Amino acid sequence: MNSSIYFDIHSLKFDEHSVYREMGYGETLPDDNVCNITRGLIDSSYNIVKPSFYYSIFPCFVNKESINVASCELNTDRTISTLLRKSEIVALFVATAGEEFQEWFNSIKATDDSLKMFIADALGSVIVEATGDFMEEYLQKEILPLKHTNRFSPGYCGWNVIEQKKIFSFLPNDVCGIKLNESSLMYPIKSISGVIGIGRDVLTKKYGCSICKKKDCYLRKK
Amino acid sequence: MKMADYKISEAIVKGNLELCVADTNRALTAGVAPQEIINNFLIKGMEDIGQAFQDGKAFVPNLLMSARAMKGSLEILKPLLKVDGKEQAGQIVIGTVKGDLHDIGKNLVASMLEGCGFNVINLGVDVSSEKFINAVKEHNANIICLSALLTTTMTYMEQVVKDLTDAGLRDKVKIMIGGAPVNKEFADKIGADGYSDNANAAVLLAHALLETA
Repeated sequence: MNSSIYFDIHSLKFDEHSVYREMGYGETLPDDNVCNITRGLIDSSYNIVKPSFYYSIFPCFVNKESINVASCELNTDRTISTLLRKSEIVALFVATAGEEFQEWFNSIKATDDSLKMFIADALGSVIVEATGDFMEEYLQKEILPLKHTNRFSPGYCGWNVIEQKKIFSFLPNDVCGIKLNESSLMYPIKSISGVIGIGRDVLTKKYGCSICKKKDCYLRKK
Repeated sequence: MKMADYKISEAIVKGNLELCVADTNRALTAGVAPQEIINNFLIKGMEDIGQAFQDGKAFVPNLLMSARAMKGSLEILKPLLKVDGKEQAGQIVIGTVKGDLHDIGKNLVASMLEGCGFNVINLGVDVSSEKFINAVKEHNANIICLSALLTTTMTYMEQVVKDLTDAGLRDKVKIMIGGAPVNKEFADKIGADGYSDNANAAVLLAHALLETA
């Protein structure tokens, strides 16, 4: 794949309940005020947000605590490298809710309405993860009959966020409009990057908390 | 009018800005001292909503609405506190460390500290050690609060502690840390002065460190 794929946000699978879950409500329904703001933001997002993704496929060698892609070693740590075991090739990817989302979010931020900001932030997270899911479906069609693992990102399961720089070194400049700052953080903020293993016998289980040794992770399910 | 007649704490718990502001004005008109309003109502309201959150009976949006209501009251009280001639409880520099963009908890702590009389300089997110040090010098801070949400960024806190020491500021500023992956053991390990796991505890810790409680 040689260019970023932009697509209609309506292709993404999410709804208001996805946003409530992202905000920590579980299956509880928020009060009317929060529900109304959430629905209003989702409606607006349909007219504003232009999500996109990009990936590129490379040969790889999976080590105990890292993977080699070309001459570059990605220090994923053991949890992720274990889950990438049996990968014959890998897809290095980015996915984003896009610059339009970021501009819209910045305008909400400027109003200093912390509640609306929080909900918009959660919506952005839901959109970018749904974009990642959409990308995986796209990838699956392209790699048949091979299978792919889940996606793994720097910043989680012990893979340092600084390694994001290495991933971007494999991708075109300004891919999907994403830039890295000096701390290796992406802008637009609602963007993800990482690696997906591909092969005949790769593991497809989620990188859930049961396989991660980071007992102090904030995402850890109690 | 009895103190119990003011619904400021309840308004904070419900996140009702209008009621909070109206009752703050009513209390002031009746002669209740600004500091008394903060101590008896604002802190209590935030403690109650904080407890409800800990018990799983409230969610982050509730905390944000409560903080907004408290800030509404505080906007009215702040100028009066200065007229009172009372000094700020202390100067606090707060930020989320480099590499980390998470700021909801950090902002709640900042609001709570502000509500309790501290002057808070909020540096935002992805804050480098250098920026923390410059802010400590510029604002003559008594306390620095470091926040992180990721296991991969909490380690940067240790760097900040080290750089503060190297800059000769360690004896002049107390260091507090917070965020989901950190705990007291981690605070001790990196040489911080304290750790708190919620906004109310952060205020108590700040007072304890400055002996202003």
